[in-house]
Amino acid sequence: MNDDRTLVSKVLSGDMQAFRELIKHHERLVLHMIGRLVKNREECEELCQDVFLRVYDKLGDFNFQSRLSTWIATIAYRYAINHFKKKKIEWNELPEHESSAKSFTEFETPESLAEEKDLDQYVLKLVDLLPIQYKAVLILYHVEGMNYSEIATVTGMPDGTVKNYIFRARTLLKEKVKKYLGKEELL
Amino acid sequence: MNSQDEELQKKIERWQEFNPDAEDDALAYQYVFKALRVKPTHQLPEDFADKIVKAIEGKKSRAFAKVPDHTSLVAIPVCAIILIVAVTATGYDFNWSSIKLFSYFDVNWGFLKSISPYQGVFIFGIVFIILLNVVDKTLIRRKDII
Repeated sequence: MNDDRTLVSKVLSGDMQAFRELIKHHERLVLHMIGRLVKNREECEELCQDVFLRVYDKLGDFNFQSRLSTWIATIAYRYAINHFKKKKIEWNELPEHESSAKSFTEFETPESLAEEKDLDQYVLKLVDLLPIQYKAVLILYHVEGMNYSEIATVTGMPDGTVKNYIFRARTLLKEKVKKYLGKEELL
Repeated sequence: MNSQDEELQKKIERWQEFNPDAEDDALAYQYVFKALRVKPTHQLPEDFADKIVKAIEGKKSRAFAKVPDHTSLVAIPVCAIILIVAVTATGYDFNWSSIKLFSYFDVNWGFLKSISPYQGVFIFGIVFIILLNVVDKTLIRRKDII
């Protein structure tokens, strides 16, 4: 937190080298957030740039109520969601009911996915098929190692919803993997 | 929430090592957790931070250029003086009496009369310069911000 304070005050005093350092510290976090949600490489890089330009513009408003990384992740999350809305890209709706959750586990696996031999890649491709809110919470929890409360700050969801989404997303993935493993045993 | 699945997820999260002999659900969860921890491989370009800093500095210098310059306060009276000197030195006659407004009067624009056959060229020139500025501001300059 103290490092954050030093870095932020340097940037605010106009030290661009300090801002370079800030970017270097957080570019992976932003890339992980945006990269898993926006698949087009150019659009992804452009969005990452926009996120850091926004960070620079708004850094004076950062009040150290959270970690700097949490605050930057919040901006990245909002940019990704806005990108989807602006481009009118359809995303999978949240399966609020058990029946729609069931439809995810029972849907016909695309051929390209079914032929995936690497199980990690198979799971990650399944993650891409999940609703954007599920994807976001999974990335923040498993890749970035954030806790429920930090994820709630980033996404603006209540803690309980975050916990619920992580649990449900993992359950959906588990069901598909179970089917995949069952198929492998038959071969 | 299915409490059995919830407990299983919590348990597997605590496991340090992969257990290939686990039961179906536990095994599937292990694969899911393992894959979810995989860090994305794609990276941003080496000069990513430099590009952003450059864009910010470019933006700052443009904003600075927009700040009204006090030299313009001096420039206006200087231009007026130059105009007066030029008019006096050349003995130019504005022919005020012939300048009338609106069409029912006989319009005689004095010194502008000699260029009046080329008014199309002048109008085109003004429109072209305005368009060029609009294109420059909206398209060309925006590119280096991104």
